[in-house]
Amino acid sequence: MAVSRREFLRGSAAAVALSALGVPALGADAGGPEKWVKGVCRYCGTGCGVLVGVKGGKAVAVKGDPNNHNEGKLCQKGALLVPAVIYAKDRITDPMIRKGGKKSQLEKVSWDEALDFATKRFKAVIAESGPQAVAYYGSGQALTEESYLANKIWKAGLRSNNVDGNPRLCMASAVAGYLTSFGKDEPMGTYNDIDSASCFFIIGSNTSEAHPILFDRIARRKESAPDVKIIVVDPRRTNTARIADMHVPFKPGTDLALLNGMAHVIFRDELDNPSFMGRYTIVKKGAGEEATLEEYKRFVSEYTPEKVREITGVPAEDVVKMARMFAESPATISLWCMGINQRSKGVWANNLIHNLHLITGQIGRPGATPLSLTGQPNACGGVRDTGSLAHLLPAGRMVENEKHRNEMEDFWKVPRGTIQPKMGFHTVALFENMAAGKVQAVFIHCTNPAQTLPHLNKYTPALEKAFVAQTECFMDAETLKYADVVFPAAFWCETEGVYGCTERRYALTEQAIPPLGNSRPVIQVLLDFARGVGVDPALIPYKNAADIWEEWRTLSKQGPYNFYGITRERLKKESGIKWPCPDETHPGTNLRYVRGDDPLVPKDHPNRIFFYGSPTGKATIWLRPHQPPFEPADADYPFVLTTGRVIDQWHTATMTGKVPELHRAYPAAFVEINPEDAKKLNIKNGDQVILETRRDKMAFPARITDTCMPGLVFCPFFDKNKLVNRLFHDAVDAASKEPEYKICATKVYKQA
Amino acid sequence: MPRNHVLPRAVLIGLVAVLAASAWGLSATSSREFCLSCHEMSPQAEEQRWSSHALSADKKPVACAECHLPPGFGPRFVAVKIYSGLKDAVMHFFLPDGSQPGGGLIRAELQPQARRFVDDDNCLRCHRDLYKDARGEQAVSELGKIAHDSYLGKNGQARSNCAGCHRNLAHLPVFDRRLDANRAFAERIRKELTLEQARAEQNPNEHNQKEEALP
Amino acid sequence: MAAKKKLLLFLALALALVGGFFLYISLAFPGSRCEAAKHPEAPEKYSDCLECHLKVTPMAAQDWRESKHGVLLVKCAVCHGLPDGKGTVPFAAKPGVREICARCHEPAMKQMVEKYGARLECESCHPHHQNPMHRKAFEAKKPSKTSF
Repeated sequence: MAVSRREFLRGSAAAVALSALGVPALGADAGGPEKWVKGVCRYCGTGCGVLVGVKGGKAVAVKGDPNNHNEGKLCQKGALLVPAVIYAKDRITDPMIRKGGKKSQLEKVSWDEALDFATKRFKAVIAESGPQAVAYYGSGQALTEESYLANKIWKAGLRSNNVDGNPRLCMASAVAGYLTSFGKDEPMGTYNDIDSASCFFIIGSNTSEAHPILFDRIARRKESAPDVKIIVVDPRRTNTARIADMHVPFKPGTDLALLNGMAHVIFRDELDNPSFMGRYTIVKKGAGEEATLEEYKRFVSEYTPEKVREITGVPAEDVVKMARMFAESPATISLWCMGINQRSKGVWANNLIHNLHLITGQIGRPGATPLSLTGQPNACGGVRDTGSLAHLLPAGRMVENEKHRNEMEDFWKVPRGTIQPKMGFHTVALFENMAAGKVQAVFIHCTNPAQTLPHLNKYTPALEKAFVAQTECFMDAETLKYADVVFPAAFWCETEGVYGCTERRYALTEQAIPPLGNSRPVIQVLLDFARGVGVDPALIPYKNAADIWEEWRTLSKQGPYNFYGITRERLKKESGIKWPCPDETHPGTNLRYVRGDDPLVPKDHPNRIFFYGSPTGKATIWLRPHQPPFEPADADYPFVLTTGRVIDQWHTATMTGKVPELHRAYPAAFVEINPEDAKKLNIKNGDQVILETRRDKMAFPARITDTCMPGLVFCPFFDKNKLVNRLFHDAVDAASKEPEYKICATKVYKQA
Repeated sequence: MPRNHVLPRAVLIGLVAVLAASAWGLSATSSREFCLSCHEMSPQAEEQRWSSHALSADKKPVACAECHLPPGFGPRFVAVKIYSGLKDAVMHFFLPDGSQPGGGLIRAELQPQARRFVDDDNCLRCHRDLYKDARGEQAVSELGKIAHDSYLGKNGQARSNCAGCHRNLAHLPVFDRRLDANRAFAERIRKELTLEQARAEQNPNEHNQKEEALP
Repeated sequence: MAAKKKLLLFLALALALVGGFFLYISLAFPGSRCEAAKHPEAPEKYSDCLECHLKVTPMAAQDWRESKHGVLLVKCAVCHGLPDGKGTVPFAAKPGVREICARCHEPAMKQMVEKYGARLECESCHPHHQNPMHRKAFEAKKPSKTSF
């Protein structure tokens, strides 16, 4: 290896310098942080552990936590959180009020005045129209303690079930999928399964841009074992497909046929697992009627590879190949995200993926599991598990189940009958009722609905009409245009709290620095707000987040979400623990529902797997027919428009947009057009292109690339100057109420 | 005295003779045929045939010296002639691997050296307007404008000469053929070499026609 | 003695000429300009360093795209910062190992130090633009690098 003279001299100088500093060359040195505080990344549902470097009371650096699942790695978003996002110039540091109504400007006021202004209005609304006229709209980015507290305040304190959150727009179908297939929410596998899988079935997920560190883990798994196969099913040939053995593009919205087609081939070629099905599954159809396995096989026999090709455009031999890869591999893991969830038949799509694992027995073993990828950092731990949705109560309980309500009323020490028996408004219904004047005051926490709701033109009037109290950190959030009261929230490591990520891991972000300016931890804001609105102080006797955690932990002891062993002390010492974890000596659970691994399965249980969340102890195979999306392409609107993420920008870019490196990578939205389509429409790279749907029209610069298949166009949704959601409809899944953000019909033409 | 007449005159004649010989030598050793008389240069010659710089705008074959030697006969030209002449002679006579078609030269090490000695004036002789495309017909692309502004010092300051950015214009070693920027050039080489091989197999006696008809 | 002096003088002159000649060569044909290079300013729509650098520094750009960092979309600015210097990452053609690489690779670096002692530079075995997907890191080094 030739070393040039210059390199040698340089190297020698470096060696001298390094040896002067002492070996090892790494580690804390004179100019670096005084201490490193453990936490969880503020961004996606991968939930990477981070260490925030603090010096002189300021956050000066961030690096990956070597003891968490990410082993020190971070993607560019997490790696650039400090200092650009925390100390952004437009951090909101004082409470603000619109004194003169929606058209007036926001003015800075004191905390007392802001809280007073908000609570007075909420009290008046409740007095006049009852507690169903107020609502809380929360977030999968809020801390677990915050969501639990808000849920309790509303459902037990104010006696309103209008508690919902942005996970409704993101994970609701996955929740309902797990509930209907297995009895309880949340995946049974973990990231460890990535290291043991021999076949990856990735559908409706651009993992390389939405969950980069998981993509890294998948790529390393493939590199380490030559027989590992990766199937990427996506109408777009994304960067994720770069490592795939098979990339399967299909006509958008036809994946239900494709999944049923795979099941067909599995039965046809005798790759199914009758012993597993016999022992561990029951079959259902429709709204829950019992069915038989024979019925299911007959149902699936219609989805021949030829018929699937007609519906989806996927060649018949590819359907067969995919099915064989899935079934014949020693351990198959499925990963999916919004492509499957944000659909008008999202729950059914989830069920069909679970079906494939159940008919082949690819479940309950290392590497074999259906692992739903969560988008936000705390949709699982904060909203799903604490039951902070309109139809839920903590730990998998349902509002409309009297026994569940009574359990919660007893635990929360409120009289029986306190909790309303009818579920509250889910997100889309909430904003509909706000627009209609039925819900008159809303507390929005840690989310940006003015950019992220579907069919924005229909729902922004709701924000104009209702009284909006909002917690927010950044001045450029679109929703601030409609806020009547703004509470500046302490941001991320300025306060302490728990995040629960995709793999059932609860991890603590410790407070690294004091809240900036006059911002306050949202726990405090919620407590002050609740007391001001008249909630019984006995219901909310907490001093801090740790108190709330104590209560939630104790509550979980009684059921299948048992994480009683995850104490605050353990969270401080360890880098996250996976529940179920019933006592302090338990290390956490990898294979849920599996005897010997899952502590909630009795050690003497007759079967290896026990789906204790389901009343029969078995999982459910569902007959789900293919149905097209709500608004497929047609003669008038011949293209399909879809949206999604890009690696550098998180959601509405209020955080990532502050980082010059990330902002520069994607300063503005664009529309991806296939070169064939571009040629027919005479569009060149950079041309302004109009996308016109039945709801609105908008211009985007064109990016000609072969990522999208012909007939499909793609826009990212991060740009507040191009509110793509104005173009989309608000059709929701009938069961989960999650909107279909992934498919609508559009015209595409060059701007004159 | 007769000796005084003879010596200065002899010196003068000698000087003139040396100058004339040098001039003839310098130009004779700058011709395309001379450069290519060393077998080490055969890969470069072959690649140039399929490059964008095989023929000039008026369809004449581009000689090696047109790019690789400074224009004119000034001190730059003479300096390079001496320097590369010495270098080439040393390499040719003392390099071990004479059996290889490329003379065993490590082309990756040659490239930066070759780029050093390609004068910008040689490029500008044909490509006079930096804000027009290579053929001088349409405006250069937006990125090209930014790059050339940088070269001229109007927008930042590029560090390299023409050849430092515009590489692989005439020659394309194997390890550079994978680069996207060279895709068209690599395609032509691949296609033509295959054709040549096919022709050589059919007509084994005609394989020495390399230096003839250029496309 | 005068002859010897003349000889010495002649040799010195010859050496000076030869030395001067090589000095002239290195100054008149610098390869890269001696003035400090300054990155051009591009309008914001050229957000992607890659678009230009695929043409200007094709080897580095394509190496990156085919390497692990490219597959994982660890983009230029994440390590190199922004050329106008206004980013959070300090602009550097060669990013510092302890400041930049350690942000994500510290556990592996610590392991290397423990096993092999402090090394001069990581990139002598782990070329950051050329770490391919399917070979061991230390086999990756190719003979040529883009250089200015």
